[in-house]
Amino acid sequence: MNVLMVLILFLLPSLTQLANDPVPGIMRSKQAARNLDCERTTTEQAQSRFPGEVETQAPRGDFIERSAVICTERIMKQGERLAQTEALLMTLEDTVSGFATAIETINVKVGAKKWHVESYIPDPTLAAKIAFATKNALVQRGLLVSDRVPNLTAGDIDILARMKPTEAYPLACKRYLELDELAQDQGLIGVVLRDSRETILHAGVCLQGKWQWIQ
Amino acid sequence: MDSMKAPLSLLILFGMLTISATQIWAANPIEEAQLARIEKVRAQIANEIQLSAYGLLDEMVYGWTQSPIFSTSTPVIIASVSVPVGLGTGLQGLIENHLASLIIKNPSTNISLTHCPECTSIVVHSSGQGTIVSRGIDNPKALSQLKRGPNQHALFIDIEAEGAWLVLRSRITKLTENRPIVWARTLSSAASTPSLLRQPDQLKSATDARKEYIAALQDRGPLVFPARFALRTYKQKSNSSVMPPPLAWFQTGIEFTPTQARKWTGSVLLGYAWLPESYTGFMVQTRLSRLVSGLSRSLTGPDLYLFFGGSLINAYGPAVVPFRNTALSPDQILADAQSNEDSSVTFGAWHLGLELRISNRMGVSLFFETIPSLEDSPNMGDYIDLGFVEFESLGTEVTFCF
Repeated sequence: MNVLMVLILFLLPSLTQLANDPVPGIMRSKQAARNLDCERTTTEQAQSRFPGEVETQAPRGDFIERSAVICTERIMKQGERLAQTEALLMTLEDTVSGFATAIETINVKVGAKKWHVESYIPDPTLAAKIAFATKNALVQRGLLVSDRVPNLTAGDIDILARMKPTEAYPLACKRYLELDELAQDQGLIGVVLRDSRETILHAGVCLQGKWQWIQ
Repeated sequence: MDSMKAPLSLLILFGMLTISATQIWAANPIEEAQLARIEKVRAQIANEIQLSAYGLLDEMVYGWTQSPIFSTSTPVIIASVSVPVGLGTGLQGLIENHLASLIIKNPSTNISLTHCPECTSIVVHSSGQGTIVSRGIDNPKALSQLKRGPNQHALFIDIEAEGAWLVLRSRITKLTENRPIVWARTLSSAASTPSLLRQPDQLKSATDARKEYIAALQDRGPLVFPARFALRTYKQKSNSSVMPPPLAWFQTGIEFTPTQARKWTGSVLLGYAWLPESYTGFMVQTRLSRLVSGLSRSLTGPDLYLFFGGSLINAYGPAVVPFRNTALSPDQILADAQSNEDSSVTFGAWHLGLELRISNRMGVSLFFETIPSLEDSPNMGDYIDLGFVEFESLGTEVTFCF
């Protein structure tokens, strides 16, 4: 029996390793596992980020191909924000980076001098954050960006609000030019939720009175 | 049958209505409890991310000190500070204060904070083209009429939780009619990254701060020299007339670890116990400890170790008589006390316990010890009897590491 106890004692530390396993199981519920944000990386990178916690390859090499999975708990757990808000914010940096890449290409083609950003999202807080992220992504790519938002008249908004998105955005774009809110050398990037339930952001560009979807 | 159907339907309908009414009546307290819980969780998250947000602000201001945006001191208004969706304005206030403090303590940023209530308030501006209701910073024409704006800049800060990352976005806009963005930056920090905790007036780059962190992790070599005060108490057998005395030990030796993470540590210690006219003891102890509170030693919080070890104890003196494996009668005790020769006992013991180590400087531990040779002693009872092993001793220790 005493031998059994010694064996248990030696196994116990290994069992505590289970607590670090991101997979749902004895030590972690499915809910807790869903709150983890995991990425696979090289052991060298993992060692650099978490010194002493990851075993790297031996200097003369070894016969095991090693990699590390870094799992970090999400700051806002599932259920603490609206599912749609969480989904949009979760990938915001990647999304706006994609928009900025597309705009960079257009900018080279048409030679627009200045860009304005507007987000057409029902939640104003979320809309402000998305516009902020888009502006930053554009500035960091060296584009000229203005904080000014072109305005439409109250009558325009009243009509546009009753139209389908496919028709409303091109018409709004035309009106910006007619009202002289956007000059010929200025472009507007509209970040849009085409359906109020969706969790993917779309973007369109208004240039010289013409609307074009880019994503 | 039809006459039966109507009352039955009524009964079902009544039952459904009762259930619905109960649910409606009960919904409010549940919702209140859920709201209270959400508020509590949000406050907890705000506390957790506050230091990370401070770290990001430090990094941003450090960047300004290294490569200033403006060549001369320029007035800048903090136009807006927004925090992660779902968190309250308390965090917003803390972040704004920290940012202001950083800018004031670092004049080399060339940013001069300016108070401009007209800029952040809602202003109504009427002209021939129409009436515009907006914040001052969104309507430079209105600001110019208030003799504000042209030479000023507005700083916008947004902090957002995106998965496991806390992202800080900032931009500076010139308050002219076209409002060009003159500077923008996005910084992020993983939730698991330890806070860099830089001094506001001695900012460092994230790279330098990380180097310091690594250096602090590695400030100790693989060897540590512990000095430990331990007290072992022994359970008296219920039908025995003698009680084994507690033994107080002073131990010192060497503790070693194979990695900087200090996940596993081993130690070899020598111990000495002495109580005048009672006992004198010597001990050799080995111990293997395993960190159970994380993957590596924490710099900011305590670490919990599970340990297992063995010791060989030799003690002599009149007080160690109960450590014999024979029943003691009052006559025998008296005879031992009058004898000139000290009673000597030697026994081996295995111990199992938990140690709370603070910053690898000080530790407090609690352990149970089993003495196989004294399992059947008529003088010694058990604190815990697991069937296959009996723990006769309960001990506590305070350790100082050098």
